[in-house]
Amino acid sequence: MSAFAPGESPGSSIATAVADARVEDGAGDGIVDVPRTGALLAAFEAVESSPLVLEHITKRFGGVLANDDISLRVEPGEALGIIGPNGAGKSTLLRLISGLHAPSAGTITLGATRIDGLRPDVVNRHGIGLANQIPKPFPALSVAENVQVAATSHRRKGATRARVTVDDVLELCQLGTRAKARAGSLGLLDLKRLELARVLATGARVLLLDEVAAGLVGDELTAAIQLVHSIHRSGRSMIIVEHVQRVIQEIVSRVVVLDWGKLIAEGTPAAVAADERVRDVYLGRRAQREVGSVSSPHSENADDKVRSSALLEVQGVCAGYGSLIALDHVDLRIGESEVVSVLGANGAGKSTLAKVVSGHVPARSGRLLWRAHEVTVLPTYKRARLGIAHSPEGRRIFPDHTVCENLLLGAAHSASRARRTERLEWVLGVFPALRTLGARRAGLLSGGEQQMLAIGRALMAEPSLLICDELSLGLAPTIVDTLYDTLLEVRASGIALLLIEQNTSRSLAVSDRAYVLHRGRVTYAGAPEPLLDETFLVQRYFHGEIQSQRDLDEAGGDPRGVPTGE
Amino acid sequence: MATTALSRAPGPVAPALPLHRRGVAALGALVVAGAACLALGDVGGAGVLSLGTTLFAYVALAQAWNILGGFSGQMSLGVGAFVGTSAYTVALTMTRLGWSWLPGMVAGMVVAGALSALLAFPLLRLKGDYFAVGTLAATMALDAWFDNWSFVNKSMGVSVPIQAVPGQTEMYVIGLVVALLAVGSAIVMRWSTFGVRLLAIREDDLAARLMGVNVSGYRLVVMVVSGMLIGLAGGVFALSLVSFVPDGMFAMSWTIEALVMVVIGGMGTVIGPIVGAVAVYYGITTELANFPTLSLFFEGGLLLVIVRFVPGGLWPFVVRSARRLLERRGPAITTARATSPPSP
Repeated sequence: MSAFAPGESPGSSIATAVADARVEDGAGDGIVDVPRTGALLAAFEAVESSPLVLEHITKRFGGVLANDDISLRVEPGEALGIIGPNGAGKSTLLRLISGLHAPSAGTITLGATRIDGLRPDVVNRHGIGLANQIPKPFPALSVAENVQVAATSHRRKGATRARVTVDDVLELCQLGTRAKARAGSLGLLDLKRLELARVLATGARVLLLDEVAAGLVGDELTAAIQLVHSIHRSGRSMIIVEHVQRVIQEIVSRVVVLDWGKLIAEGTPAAVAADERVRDVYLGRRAQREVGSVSSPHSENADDKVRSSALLEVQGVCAGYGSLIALDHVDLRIGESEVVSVLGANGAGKSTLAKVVSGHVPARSGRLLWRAHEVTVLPTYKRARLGIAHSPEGRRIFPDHTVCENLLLGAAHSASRARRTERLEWVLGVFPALRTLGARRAGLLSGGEQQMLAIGRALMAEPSLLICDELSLGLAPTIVDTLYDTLLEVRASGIALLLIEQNTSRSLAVSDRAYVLHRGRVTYAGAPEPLLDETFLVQRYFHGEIQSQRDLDEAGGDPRGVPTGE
Repeated sequence: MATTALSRAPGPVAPALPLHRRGVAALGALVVAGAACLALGDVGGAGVLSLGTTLFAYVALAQAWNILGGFSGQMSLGVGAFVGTSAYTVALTMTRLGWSWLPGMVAGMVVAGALSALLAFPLLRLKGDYFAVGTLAATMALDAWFDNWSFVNKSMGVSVPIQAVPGQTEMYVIGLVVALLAVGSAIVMRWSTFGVRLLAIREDDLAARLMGVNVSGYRLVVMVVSGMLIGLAGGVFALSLVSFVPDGMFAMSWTIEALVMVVIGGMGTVIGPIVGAVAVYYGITTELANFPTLSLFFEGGLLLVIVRFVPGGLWPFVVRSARRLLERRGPAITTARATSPPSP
């Protein structure tokens, strides 16, 4: 898909859907969408909104300049998008506005009130709410209680007793049925909804949304966009930081681009997308390429390879957490130096599969064979010594260690010092960007750099199989390009790859074979090419391959909340 | 549906009732339980009275620790600081000022609360392990100070004037009232808007802050309330022990007792600390009163078993088991097992 295609009318489908939902428009006849949503939205109609003005905002962390003289103005009711590569200072800017950090210089005002330097809870009471990039639910509390925390922290003086209840907010955010569930048990989409619900419940008039769509795919993404759009239609101002370009295309009217803490471009989504500089620093040349044209170089002889030497064989593995079944008789094979993708919606069991292979999650039944030796019950550290390296979801780098220490920790324990140094050199050769960062604390790296570090650390162990879980999550397109280029290099050195990905087009492009999981079962196994057909892929993602009557029965009622196309 | 009212009423979201329905019900149950304990004291002999008094004080102690550690997530190792301060206040006001036990205990509670507020300023800047170590350091400092302060007879300790100590029945009632106050505070703090915010701070203080919760304010309130309740329990201990020395009243053992009771009973629940106090004090300490070493051994053993096999504590385990038993009777067992999220 091309990014920001200028011809497309932004968000037409969503806009109509939302307009339909609004009873106030008088278009209330024959509405299919829940009419109550419209009424609720009207109830949330922002009372009075003030412009948010940032003037000459600068933020330094030690020697790092995260924001450099940024001036911005967000009009009441406007939706402003912020894009830029990882480490450009987007999240920092939101954290400055929300009061989590104080700017080193510059002022932030909301209407007539200066809010920079105020405590986050005070800033929030002025009507600014931040939805976090990584949802921060109160896991032991119920969903309703989570929203209650937000709702009850506000006793504005002179405010009329509000009549919108916690239940209303939950309903608006489509969480009504989950009100009593523990927040810790929610799936990703519901967590994102909860994050929004809590911000709404604080009565915020300016919403700061930090990558609300990250990690969502297909119908989930559409649902999330629809929700954000409907909230925006209620008259609230928004600043949206986002890598998922559909969100930017369909919701915002104006985009600013940050790079190295500086504001480098500003304009409509289409104008910004056409900007040469923006393409260079952010979108990347390859974003323009059509997915269908990518061919997989090794697919022809893939089958022979698997038959001749299976590096890893997963045979009928089941796994789960408590009463939840995450993997249901999964079979998977990876050949020597083969690249295998595992795709699927959130909650399909992809990460669990990765953890079963690396040993973090035990297999309840079935077998795992590593080079024809059984490793089913082998502890994780022993599997690591055999050559299974796992670069986990969320990177899991050691933030207080330096980059160099992180890498050296990844080296095999038995390796001699000379061997470690040699390996370190090789990894730094693969990731030249890390070389200059060697002495920096890993926690200070940007998202892309941390991802490189996580992969580099996994490679230090001289593995035969590298598992990458959600490699591209939350990363700018250019960074993802670089990472995938690097993976090809890694494969060329004879290391097999198991890619767990949401970014299907990227991972399919480099894969020899692919698997699709749906609710813990393999619904597709084979060459990646057929999956490039989007309808075929979506079918495998959300409905599974209907192979038997049993599958048919299960497809009817879907208790685990994977959204079906409605 | 009040949709028209909704559409005309913009503004912030209505807060829920200050005290939730469940909290009101729990307070009602507490009143009934209190009356039952009072009746039990009437019919029971001297044994019940003295056992009850100490048990009530331990319930209060455990509950006060639970409010701070279980609800707001601040693990304190400084229970002794408040027990000691309050006990000394009670003894000193009674001997030096000639006060009776009631104003003495109130003074003890106030001084313990004030100490709590004073300590909160440095301690609330600390998090997690640092907070715990900070509270421990404060306790040890107070112990050392009282050990060397001639005003309080240094390490010789002080005594409550024996003629001013209330009788056994009065002590039983005092203990009961203190325990009821502690459990009542826990109920109000758990099932109220305050409590929901408090638990939110425990779960993720940053997110709570972003939602407009004044985190340090809440932490301060909880610390002071917990300190006052521990102070009340300390007053009961002072009146029943009559004479004591700094090393006993500022001891680490108060913290350990409270912590063990809470962990065994169920941290972060209202009933758990009561269950824990009964299990540890009545089930082990008094049953094995003649074998104090053995009793410590059993206490430690029980703690190990709980932490290993029932990590949530006894009370949540009982609730879970009961729920499971009820579910088993239902027809939808197979689907429920396959789809329900992992139990809390």
